[in-house]
Amino acid sequence: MTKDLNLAQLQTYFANQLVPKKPASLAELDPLSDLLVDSHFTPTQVFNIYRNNFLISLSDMLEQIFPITQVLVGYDYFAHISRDFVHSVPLKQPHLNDYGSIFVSFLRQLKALEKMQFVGQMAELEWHLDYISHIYYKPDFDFKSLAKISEEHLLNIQFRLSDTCHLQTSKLDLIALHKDLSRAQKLSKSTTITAVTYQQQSYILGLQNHLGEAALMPLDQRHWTWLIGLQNGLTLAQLCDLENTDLNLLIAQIKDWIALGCIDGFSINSSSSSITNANLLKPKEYL
Amino acid sequence: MAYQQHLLTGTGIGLRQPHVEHFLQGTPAAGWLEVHSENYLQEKSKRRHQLRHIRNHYAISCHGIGLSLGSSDPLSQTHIKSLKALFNDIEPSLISEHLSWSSLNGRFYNDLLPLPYTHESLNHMITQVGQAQDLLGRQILIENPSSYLAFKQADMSEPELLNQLSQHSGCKLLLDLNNIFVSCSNMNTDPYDYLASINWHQVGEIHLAGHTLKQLPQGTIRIDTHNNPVCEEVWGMVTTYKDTLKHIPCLIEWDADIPSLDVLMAEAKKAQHYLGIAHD
Repeated sequence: MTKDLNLAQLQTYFANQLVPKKPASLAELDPLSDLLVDSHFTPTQVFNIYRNNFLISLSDMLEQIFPITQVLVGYDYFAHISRDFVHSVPLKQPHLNDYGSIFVSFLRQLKALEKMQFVGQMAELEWHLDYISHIYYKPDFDFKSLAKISEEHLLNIQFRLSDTCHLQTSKLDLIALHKDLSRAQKLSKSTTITAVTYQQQSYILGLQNHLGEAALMPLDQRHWTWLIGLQNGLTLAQLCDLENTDLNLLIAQIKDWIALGCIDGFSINSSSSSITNANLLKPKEYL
Repeated sequence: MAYQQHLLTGTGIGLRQPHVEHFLQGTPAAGWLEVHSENYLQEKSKRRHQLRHIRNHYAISCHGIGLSLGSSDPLSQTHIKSLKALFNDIEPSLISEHLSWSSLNGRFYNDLLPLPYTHESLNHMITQVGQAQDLLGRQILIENPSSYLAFKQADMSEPELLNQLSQHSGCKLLLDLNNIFVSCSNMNTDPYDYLASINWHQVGEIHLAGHTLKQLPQGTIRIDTHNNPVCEEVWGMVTTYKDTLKHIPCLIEWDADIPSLDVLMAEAKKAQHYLGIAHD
């Protein structure tokens, strides 16, 4: 190793030592001594400080975002996969805002967790709860404009789901599992989870509650279908075409979702197909 | 290019999440506040909203860790754009970054990595700092890093490089006395020689923080963890240079194992005491 490296070469060499493909041995780090001023500490010792800073800062962030996933897979295994993730998946931005979502994809692709899809699902849920909890949101639905919509356009309304809403489904009762693991985590208790206990199809709404905190709400299948429809931009007319949908019930539910802050706006889509309903009421009477 | 600069006075503290509620509910007696820019980039986040509120009552300094000015990579235009939006929103009194690199070939290491103090590094930093200042439309302060190693490839000392960087790029310096003490202890050099080499006319901000001692077989290495009170040796540096330092905005940083706000404020008062600045 020559000591006359240009800046790019030196940084490339440094970075390669920072993220070794396998655990670095003393022999691997030895060439670094050609680059460094002699000190009473070895190159390995000082270099490990940089390696630890890099690894620990990102692993700590994952532990903060995914506390329940950590309990679910066990602290040691979580530490192991975090380390693998930090080393193998580059952070592509100078902030950590999106790194957690990439971790969810990483977990889903792990062979070792292939038969435990609920781990990836729990991580996805935690990621969205964390995201929701950081959004500044003051519900301010424009009831006045809604009241001005004429009867002929009523069914062309597209209600908009707020960014603070997350919809997820699972073959397990993820909310119950999340609750039980949260309790175990708070009490620092080890817990044995039997997937069978939680085997129940679940439909989940994650949202920001009136205190600004992320909260979980179980949905029935009909409400889930409506919310997915809203998320996909369906108009009231198109939602009414869905099975088991009564316009009055739908509008009553939309009113509840507006009150919860799940729906934050609307628009009129006059190009969509609409159904006719002789008993239409004016929107202000519903909302 | 000339940049307008609003000077801060007195002793500030680093605003960290556990203390935010205190500053939303009242106005604790901090001279000014410093935030980590990267924690406030999202325009619709609660943090950004809170900072807008707090900004009404305190002068803010934005301290960045992500520009990676020393990297041989080009500056991230996306990051510059986000920072510019933040600065336009908050109108900080100062913005600062580091004499270090954090990214290479588009990969970020979430740490402040050391540079060789060569003419090439100096010229590169002058170019990068100049570009960043032009794009942001603001003067930047550059902070000296904590070091655990030094490269054999060196044409100058760290203070020499900082002096030249400020002279040629138009930036100011953010001098972290704890970082000087940590680096000098680890490199077995004299922190007072370092302080004597600095062009103090270019220093626009001072950082004070604590660090951790790690015992290794050959001796103790000092690690810049910001999780402790300022050590006696650093207070000694403050005392020796108090006549110079008392005219420069001074900040207490505490980033890990964060204590109660009272403890942090007491540390800020201690700084004022050592600097000979009267406080309420």
